[in-house]
Order: sequence, then structure tokens, then C-alpha cells
Amino acid sequence: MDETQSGGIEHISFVYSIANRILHWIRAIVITGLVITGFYIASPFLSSGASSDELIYARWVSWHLVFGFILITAGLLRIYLFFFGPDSKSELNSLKDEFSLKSWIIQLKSYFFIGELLKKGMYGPLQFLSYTMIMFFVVLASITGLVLYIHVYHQGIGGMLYDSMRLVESWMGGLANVRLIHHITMWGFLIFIPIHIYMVIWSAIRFKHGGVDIMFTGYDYHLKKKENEEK
Amino acid sequence: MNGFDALYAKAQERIAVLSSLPSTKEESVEQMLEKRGIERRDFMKWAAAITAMLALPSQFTPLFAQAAKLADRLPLIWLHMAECTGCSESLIRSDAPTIDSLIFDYISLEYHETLMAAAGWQAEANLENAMKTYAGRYILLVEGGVPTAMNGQFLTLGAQAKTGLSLVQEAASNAAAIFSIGTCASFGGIQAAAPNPTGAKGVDKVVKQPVINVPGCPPSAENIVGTLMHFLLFGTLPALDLYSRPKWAYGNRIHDHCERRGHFDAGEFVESFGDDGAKDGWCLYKQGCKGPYTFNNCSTERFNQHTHWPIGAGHGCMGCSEPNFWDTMGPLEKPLQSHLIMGLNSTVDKIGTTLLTATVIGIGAHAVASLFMNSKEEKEEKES
Repeated sequence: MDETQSGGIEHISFVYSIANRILHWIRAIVITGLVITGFYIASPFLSSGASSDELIYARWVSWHLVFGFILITAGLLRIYLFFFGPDSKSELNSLKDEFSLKSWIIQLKSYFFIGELLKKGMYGPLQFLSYTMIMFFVVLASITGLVLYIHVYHQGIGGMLYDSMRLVESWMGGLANVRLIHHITMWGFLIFIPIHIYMVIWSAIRFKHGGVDIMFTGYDYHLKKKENEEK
Repeated sequence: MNGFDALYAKAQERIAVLSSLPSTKEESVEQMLEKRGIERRDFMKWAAAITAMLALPSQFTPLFAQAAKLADRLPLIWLHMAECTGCSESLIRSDAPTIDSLIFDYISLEYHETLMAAAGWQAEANLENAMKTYAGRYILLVEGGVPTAMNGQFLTLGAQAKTGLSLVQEAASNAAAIFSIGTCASFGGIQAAAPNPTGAKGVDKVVKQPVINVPGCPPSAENIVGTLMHFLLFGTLPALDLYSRPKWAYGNRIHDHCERRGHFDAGEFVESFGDDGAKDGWCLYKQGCKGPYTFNNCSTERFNQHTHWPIGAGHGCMGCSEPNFWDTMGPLEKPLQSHLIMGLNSTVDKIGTTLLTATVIGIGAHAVASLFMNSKEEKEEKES
């Protein structure tokens, strides 16, 4: 390992712009906050305060709403940047891999230690699909969250969205179903997060590139291979 | 003309039209009420209460009083489908005959299987006669879901064994307005709960005409009467939500006006029935109250002459006025996180925990395999 490290780095490439990196960490923080407060809202486990004037439950709900609106904003911005941002071109290039069976096989084989991970865009096909799914869950959680929100706050943005969210509510078959779908999206995040963190670290070690660094510095690099050095 | 004047003029016009229609009874509403000991003062109080309930200004009170006196111009036909008669009970059960029940039971009800004296062929003839005589004028009230499987054969009624489906379609074709009374008529109710062998559906799914839903299991008498009074005075449909429920009654959630709401916000929950929290009237959210997901005015109108309601009695709301509440709201005495996912027979949290455990095991296995593969490859590299 020492030899490869001293061998230096190559293929330095800029992957994520500052906006996308910041948005990523905002989502990471608020989703964590939402899961914790959401669990409490579903099943309030703290005992009540000294008097009915201490609005413990309402306080948890209000933090959930604050995190929720940050997630909605960050989600909207990220979707915009996906199509029109500085990284959009290489992100969209991943669509070519998405619809290519060969790319799927390459990625799956690489995960089972057979061969390198070669891709046309920024993401492998499986990676791209799972990121798309998690964005879909963000959108679903945001919409179901808004449906639940407008029934408590009837003015401002709640009043503006009231009629359209009632329509969504009826599509989903009533508020009870909306709440259930909202709860299911939380499990989507909970299952995604450990896989995501593991795969980032694993692929950084396995393919000797700057996996974790990308989200901090924005740059990816590859460690020089021993063979290259010998040549 | 502003909104108030327009509405007022509309109501006055409607009263003029109603008074020009012939009465269906020999005795006028005023005579009937007087004979049964209802004073004018009580009658005006009742009219004021109806006005307030429909969220109309107090200037409409005399108009409602006038309209109620013309209630005999508005014949009602009440059909029973697959149901338990609980909705009729809700309307007619009271400590003493109320003005609502006097007006609607004694004066304008042309056909109601529970209340009428006729039976068999005679009852059938009454219904046909009423539908013919008042064609285009009568209000059709339907109680109960309509079984549609096997061409409606799961429900046949009367001496000619007509199916409920054909009866409701026939009655709907000449009705001035159609009201679905109760959750069964509105959304199918318990008959429509999965797997719904009889194919029970709400009335609005089997007729082409517009239907006003007054769901609830049962709906309060006030919601039934209020919906009728609104039609009586204005002759048009009230403002409806997306499930065709009148907004004046189903515009807010039970939760929004609940007397225990303060305890909800304070995080003061009943942990088990009969504990100290229950005695202090704390929130029933953890005992499965579905008030936050249910649209109705129970928390303000209540039942039994406005005296009481389920949450007041210490039991959570079951969500009975919501579509498919048997399937979406269960279990009734536990929070929604205990809801069993259809087909998997498990809760979201159990399925989620299982999947998460599988994920962690998968990650672990992959990580261990990676360790071996890496050292093996390094060895190969060194050897070569």
C-alpha cells in the first residue's frame, strides 16, 4: 500500500460543484433530523412535562416542519441542478449506462470483485437507479408531508397549497393512507443510508479513488497503479 | 350585488317557488308542530341553530323558519340498502321528538321501510306511487352500500325481489337530489371492506346523477338534517369537498376542534385505558385515535342532542366518516404505526426493520468478502 500511495495520484477530475456538495450535506443533516423527530411524532415516547403549558409534542412537530421545509427547498434546488446545473452533463451521461445491459453487468460484476467499474457518466447504472429512487422518496415524503401540513396551517403557504394538496390526498385514498406512505418513505431513507455510506467507502478502497473526498472537495482522483509505475 | 345579497335573494326566490308547490299533506307543518306541543319560540331557536350550524349569518334565520314550514312541499324517499339502520336510528332516536324528526318523519317522508306501516305488496305500491307522483321533485336518501357483484343479486328487496342496484338506479333517475346517508351509502362501508365479496359500492359509483355524501357511522342527526335544510332553502348542492361531502360539516378534522387537543400538543397521552391520564382527559392519540385523519364536525356538534361523543366518553375516534375506513384506519385502538399492510399482514416498522437487518447483514457479508479478495489480489500481484 505504501508503494501505491507514494506513487502519487492521477486522473484528477472535478465531479461536484459547491452547490451540489452543500445541498448533499444539507439533505444528510435534515433527513437525519426528520427521521428522529418523525419517530417521535409517530410514537411519542417522552413523558409529558410538569404542566399542560409545556408543549413538548408541538415542539417536536415544529422542528419536524422546519427540517421538512429545508428538505423541500434543498430537493427542489437539487432537481433543478440535475437538469440545468454545472454537473448536469456528466450526470445525464449516466442515462446511457442506465439503459445498457452491458453496463449493468459490468457494475454488478465489479461489486462481486470481477473487473473494474467502467462507466460513461458520473454514476454506475445501479448507483444511478438507487439515487433516482432516493430522490423519488424525497419528493414523495415532501408531498405527503405537505398534505399533512396544510391541515394544520391554513394560512400562508398552507393556504396556497390547500386545494392542490387535498386533491393529492384524495388520490392517495384519505389522510390515513397519506400518513402511512409518509411513514414508508422514512424506511426508504433508513435502508438507503447504510448502503450508501458503505458503498462509497468500499468503492474508494476497492477502486483506489477519492470516493469520500468527492463530497468534501469536489475532486475525484485515482491512485497510480503499481504496473503503471513499473512501466 | 354582493355575495350576501345574492344568497339572500336566491333563498327568497326558492321560498317563493316552494310555496307555489302543492302540499303533500293535509295538515300544515305549523299545525303539526302546534299539535305536538312545539312552541313558536322553540321553533325559532331551532331555526337559529340550523342557520349557525350551516355557517350562515343570523339574517337567514327567518328564511330557514319559513323554509321549514314549507318542508311538506319536499317529498322524501328513503331507501335501505346493505346497512344496519344505524343512520335512521341516529336521526330518529332522541330523548323527545325533536323538531328535526317531527318535520322529516311525520310530514314529508313518503317512503321509509323502518318507519312505515305498510308491508309487502302494499309497501312496494307505495314506493312506486311516490316515485310516479313526485317524479322530478322528490329527494332520494339512500342508507347502506349497494352490492354490485352477481348483478346485484346479493341484495334483493320486497315482494318482487328487485335488486338493490336496480332499485337505487330507478329511484335516482327521477330524483331532484340524491343524498347518501352514512358511510355505507357514501363509500361502501364495512360491506366494501377487503376482500369485498359482494362488490358493495357507494351510491355515487352506481348512479349517473350527482350525489351528496353524508358519511359517518352513523352521521349525526344534525349533519343529515342540515344537509336537507340546505337543499330545502337553496335548492342547490352545498359546497362539497373532493369526496362530495358538504364542507360546512366535513371541512375540518375531528382533531382541529377536539377538546383534548391541548393535551396532544403538550405530549400528554393516555398510555392505557383507565390510567391517570385517562382520568384527567388526556389525548387518546396513543390509544389509536384517528381524529387527525378524519373529517367531521363531531367535536363541535356531538351526538344525542349535542350532549356527548366518543372522544368525550374516553375512546378514540375510529375515522368512520373517511372512505374505506375499515381498511385504512385499523387497528382501531392502536396508532396507525400498528396498521397491517394488506397482503403482507405485517406493520411498516416490522417490514422496515427486517429489510434494514437484511441490508446490514448483506453489507457485513460483502465487507468480509472484500477483505479476503483484497489480500488474495495483493498476493497475486506480488507473485506476478
